[in-house]
Amino acid sequence: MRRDLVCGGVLLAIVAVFWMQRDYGGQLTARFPDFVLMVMAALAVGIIVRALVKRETGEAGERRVDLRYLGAAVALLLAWAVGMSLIGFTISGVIVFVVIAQLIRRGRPQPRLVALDSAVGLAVVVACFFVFTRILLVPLPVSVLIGM
Amino acid sequence: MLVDLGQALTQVLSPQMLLLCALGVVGGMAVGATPGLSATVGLALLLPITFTMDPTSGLVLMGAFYMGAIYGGSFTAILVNAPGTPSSIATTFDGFPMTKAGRSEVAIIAVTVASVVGGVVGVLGLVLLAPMLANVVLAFGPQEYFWLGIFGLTMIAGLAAKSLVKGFAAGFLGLLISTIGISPVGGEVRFTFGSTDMQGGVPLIVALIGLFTVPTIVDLVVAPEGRSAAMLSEQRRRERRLLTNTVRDILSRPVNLIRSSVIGTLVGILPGAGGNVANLIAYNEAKRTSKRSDNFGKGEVDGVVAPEAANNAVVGGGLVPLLTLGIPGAPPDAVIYGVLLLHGLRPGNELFAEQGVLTFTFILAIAVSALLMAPVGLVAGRGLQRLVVRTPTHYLAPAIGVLTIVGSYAVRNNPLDVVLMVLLGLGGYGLRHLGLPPAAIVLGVVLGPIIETGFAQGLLAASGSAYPWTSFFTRPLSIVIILLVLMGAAWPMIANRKAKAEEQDRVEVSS
Repeated sequence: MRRDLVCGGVLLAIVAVFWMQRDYGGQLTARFPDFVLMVMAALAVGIIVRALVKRETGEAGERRVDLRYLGAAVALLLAWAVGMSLIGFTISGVIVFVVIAQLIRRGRPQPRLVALDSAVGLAVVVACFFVFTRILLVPLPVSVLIGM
Repeated sequence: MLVDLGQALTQVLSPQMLLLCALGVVGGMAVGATPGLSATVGLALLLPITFTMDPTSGLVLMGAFYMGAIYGGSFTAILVNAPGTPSSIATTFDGFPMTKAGRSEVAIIAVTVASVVGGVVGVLGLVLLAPMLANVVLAFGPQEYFWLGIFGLTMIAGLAAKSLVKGFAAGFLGLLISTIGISPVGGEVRFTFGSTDMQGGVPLIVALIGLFTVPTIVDLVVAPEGRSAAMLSEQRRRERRLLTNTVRDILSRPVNLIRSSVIGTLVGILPGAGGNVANLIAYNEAKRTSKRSDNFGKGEVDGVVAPEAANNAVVGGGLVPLLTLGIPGAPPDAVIYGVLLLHGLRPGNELFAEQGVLTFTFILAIAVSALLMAPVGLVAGRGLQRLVVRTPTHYLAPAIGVLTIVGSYAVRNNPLDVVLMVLLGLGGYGLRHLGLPPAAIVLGVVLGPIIETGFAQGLLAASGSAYPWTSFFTRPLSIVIILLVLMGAAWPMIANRKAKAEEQDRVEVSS
């Protein structure tokens, strides 16, 4: 029940945020998004009402998620997305590659494994950089320091 | 025509052309398997190379590359839940569950067979039905596109495993995402949150990579043991005669293959629809009509066969309006159109009459490329599959991360797309836990522009009448599609009732 309430609430919040952004005037421009927003709001209310009426408890078969690792994964991906344009694709890529590899290995980082992961990460990221910039001509963001 | 066809056949079977076909297929597969690089991007990159070639060689290389790229998109869809091209969206629905269940090799073999059959059927459609199908294109107006999009939305009923309401909520969220940016009719800016970078909207590939791939990366970080178990079981369980058994199994249900290929050919001839719509419709029809529909979404082999047969059939289908009317059916066809024009070739009846040998060489080369996908794909595709299966999770997850980052950046060379991709992906991960399927969101993003453009243009086209909206219900082709929509919407309920009745009969018999 709680999950359905959160789901309905999140959908209503999305509708509210988009509704407040409505600054278009044309009838043809407005008709489709307005219709979508109204249907979404109705569906969100439906989900909430059903959750309150049914009052089911607990989600059977749902696996518990380790929030520490989830938080780390979310933070890493966000930092990678933002950091790529700041410190370049290669440096950010190798750093995040090694951190993710260490996270998945679990336990305390061992210098030998960190060195191994760094070497693999460097090979993968540099290969990717050269394929995309030299063959596919995609100008990836580069670091001012090392030029790649 | 027959003389031209004979000469074209001789030309296609020459070693030089066969080599070009093989090179094109391999190159296309590599680009198609890279998330973010679509067939269009690959063909555009190939364009300068064809300048130096004679028109026939250039077109043959382009055709083979296009076919390979559409096929290659299935590899990453199956192995890492990242569709290489939008044409492989539906392949993830059962392909990735097959990988998680340790059956990725079966999936790779299945998509290879499906792609070969789909590719050949598409070319047959092009050769045999081109003039007739070209007339159908002209009869298709905005109203029909609107209903085609609505027909695609009925697929949500199949994607929403637990709750239809949540499935529709996810689909409408996708539709909402598709409205971000400049409106297709009217040109007004919507939902950009004050950022000029958002005026271009959310690119489909960015949404695709984010919603499918980021949750996979997060899953691998949070619970790596799940993937390791499946990987080990696939490594240990090397089935004998897997190839022949899988091929035999797929060919034992030819209706699925043929129906999906026909859907792909028909959708391919509609300008603007393309492989990303065809694969979804074919998947939906396969699920709707299958005796094993309950297995769809859990790793059903027919669930990868249908979309891959359809998307490769689109290649041939898309060339029907291009070669007969000069209307590109899909964005990659527009690049091929450019090559034709660069070499002074004008699409239309004259192309077949005056440049018959060249035109048929191009068409036959696409069929040969489809056939070549079998040996090339089974070697390269299974090689990639074994590489991915053997790669430890602690290297696979960050490697997927590198590809998703670079793939989303490559769409418009815009760092904002990377941020958008990650935000959509993390949002998709959270929404999945709340019961909103990311696949339904993607469906909305794909179908949104088709529905909105069809709706607005349909109203504008009929603005002369007192009630413009009635034009959506009175055109003969619209009525046919409306009937399909009604059937599509009602089918899950009918199937459900049928299954319940059968279950009741079984209980009565056993008691």
